[in-house]
Amino acid sequence: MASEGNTTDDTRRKNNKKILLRRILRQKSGLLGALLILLFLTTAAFPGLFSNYDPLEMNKKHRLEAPSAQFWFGTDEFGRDIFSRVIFGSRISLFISFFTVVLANIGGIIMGVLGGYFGGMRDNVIMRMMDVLFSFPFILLAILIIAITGPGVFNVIISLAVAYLPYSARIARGAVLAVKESQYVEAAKASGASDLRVIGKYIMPNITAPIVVYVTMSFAFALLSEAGLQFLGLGARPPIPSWGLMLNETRGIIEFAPWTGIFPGLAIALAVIGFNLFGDGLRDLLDPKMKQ
Amino acid sequence: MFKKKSLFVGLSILLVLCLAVSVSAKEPKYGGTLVWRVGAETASMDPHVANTLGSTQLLSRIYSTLLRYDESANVVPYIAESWKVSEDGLTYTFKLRNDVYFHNGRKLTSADIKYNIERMIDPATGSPRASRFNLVNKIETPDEYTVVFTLKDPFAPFLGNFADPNAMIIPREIVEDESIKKKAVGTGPFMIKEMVPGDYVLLEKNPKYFVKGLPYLDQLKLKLITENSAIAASMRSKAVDFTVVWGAMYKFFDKMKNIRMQDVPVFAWAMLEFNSSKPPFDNAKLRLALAYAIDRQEIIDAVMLGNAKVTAPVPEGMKGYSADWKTLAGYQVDLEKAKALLKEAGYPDGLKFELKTSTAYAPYVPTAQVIQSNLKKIGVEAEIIPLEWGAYIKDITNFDTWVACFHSFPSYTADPDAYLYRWFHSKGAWNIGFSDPVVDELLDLGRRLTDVSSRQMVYRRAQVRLAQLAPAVYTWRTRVSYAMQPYVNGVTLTPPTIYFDGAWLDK
Repeated sequence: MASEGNTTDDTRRKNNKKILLRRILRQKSGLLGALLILLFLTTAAFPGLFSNYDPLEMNKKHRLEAPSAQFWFGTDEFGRDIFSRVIFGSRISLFISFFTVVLANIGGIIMGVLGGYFGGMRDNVIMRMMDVLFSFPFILLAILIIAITGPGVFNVIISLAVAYLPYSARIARGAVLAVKESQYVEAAKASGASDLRVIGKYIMPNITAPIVVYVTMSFAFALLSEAGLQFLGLGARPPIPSWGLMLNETRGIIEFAPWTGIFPGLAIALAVIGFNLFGDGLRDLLDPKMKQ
Repeated sequence: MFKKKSLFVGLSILLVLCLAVSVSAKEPKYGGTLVWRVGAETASMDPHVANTLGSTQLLSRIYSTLLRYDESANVVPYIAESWKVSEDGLTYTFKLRNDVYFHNGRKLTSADIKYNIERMIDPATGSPRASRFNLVNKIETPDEYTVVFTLKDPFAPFLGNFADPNAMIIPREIVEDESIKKKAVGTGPFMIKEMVPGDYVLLEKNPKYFVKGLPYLDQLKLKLITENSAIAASMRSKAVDFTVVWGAMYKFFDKMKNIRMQDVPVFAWAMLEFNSSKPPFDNAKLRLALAYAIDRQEIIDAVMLGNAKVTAPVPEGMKGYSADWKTLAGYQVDLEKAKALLKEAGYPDGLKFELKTSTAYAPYVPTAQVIQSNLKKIGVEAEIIPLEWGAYIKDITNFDTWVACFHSFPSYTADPDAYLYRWFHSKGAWNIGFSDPVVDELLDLGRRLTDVSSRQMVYRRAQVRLAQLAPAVYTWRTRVSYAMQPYVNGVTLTPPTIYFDGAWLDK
């Protein structure tokens, strides 16, 4: 009997170790994601620290040069340094993604929480509106909005935020529904707390975990769609360096000057991977179900 | 303005000197399908209204014209077998062939020619070709195969306008039953067999084509491909037999083996146009200042990867060309002069303006970027507004919605009148807000004179005046070639268009 008990303990301990190991591994990738994000945040905040060249400066003498010690990522057909353009390009990409995520989530969370909390008619109206937005493919809805408002950085933010609204509203509503029936919420209501107080004090703190994870992940999505719209020429106007726009500009020459496309493409990929890994790590950390 | 649609990708088609493709004494072979890569579809099925290159490319296979061009840009007989011009240059008598049939079986007669020209002149038709023929006073048809045009004033480029691939002759009945909106019934070498929007148009041989023995091909397929790398790949794989090559496309084609390339001189321009009808560009000194700051060679090297030349208002090869155009005002980069002119114009600190261009054609936005970077050096800030084609045309056809724009366009004729008049005469069909009595007078004179050397002088003077007033800054004129598989023979490349009726495949 005793030996049997020891075996179960051993397996449990081994299992625990395994789980712990797995969690650490997951944390590691999350850590890597955090590092990538930090890297891009730094380049966006202090682009001048990293690049020696003006990203807008055209240089007749160095046109379409392959990567070298002088131009790390090579130059484009105007003789502009691609490294500097990628560095400066992080600015506009992160700027647009940040405001898209903020706007979409503020709007979405407010609507989702109100709908979920009050339920009934109000919930119906809000969620049916979200369903209408949902019925359009995401990127087409964004393009449709830009077609109405006209291209531009600000309009890209608005269009992506609107297209994104229903996603965050659904997440927030779902989270509220799960928490709403808890006894502590019932207790707060019974003790006469106002709706505002119940939401602010008892509901919000308990739904932050899924929302924080979701917001982080939505960064990756925003970055990707932002690059897509820029690629279509609907965002920043040339000559502002932007990753998506750089990819667009390289279309005609990528076959014989691949570096003009590889590096901006790599930047988009790394930034998206960064946010995804970070989001994954965060979820593992915050999700109570994963703790076992 | 409207017709600027006919663009650049296609400019190529337009202008060409010939290539005597089948120099070898080989006998042409009948049969086969030739696949021709095109960059745009037709925007309209009505040849008199159509104003895009894609339309000309398709419709001029199906319809034919009174005259046509040969490989050296001379006007030669087509539907008309001969013509006579009176001493005073006022009466043109055309003798038509008596064996020309429309695809619906009806015989073409002089009444058709009269009807067609009248339809083009009629403002209700809204034809961009109206100004080519509006000097016609009356059209008479003494018999079934004779047409006599009487002009109000002598008009030197008149004959060439009949050879313009766009002056297509249509049968009256398809206008009357309105089927012209959907189908094409011409007298040309090919007829439409199948149209798949966004993909291809398949044409089949017209067995009753009036040029005996032609066409050699059974079918001609116009395949739509727009991406440079896709075009290159389809030429490599022989999915496409024939394509135009220009601008950055040379990077792909220069290295390609087993492809025959034929360079062709092109009459086409890419211009930075100013809206001279309103501030700030109603100021000629300001326009000239900008002209002095623009480095045309830099644009050509960066955007066209070197495959273009700096152009003058009247380019080389066109009647009226003068070799000393490099000395014209604004044709040298001179930043000091530009700054001085800016000051004189009342903008010592520079200015900011919106430069509109379209994303439809690959070189436009990059060219605008070089212009922007050039102008920055004299403190002028150009804000580039890249627009989708429809929105762009809408904006630049209204003087209130643009101040400066960049695009390119081809000329369908080898005569300088055809485009100088339309752009810069105050009554021109696509006037860009520019009006100058001296230019008007010179361009009117150029139309009336028939003597070659005096016309040369007139267009030279017009060119000097236009450079000084700078209503537009000419940038590049692209190198254009046709690339074809080695087994393609007999395509007639003329300045305004290509003819496939003599084309044949040696395989």
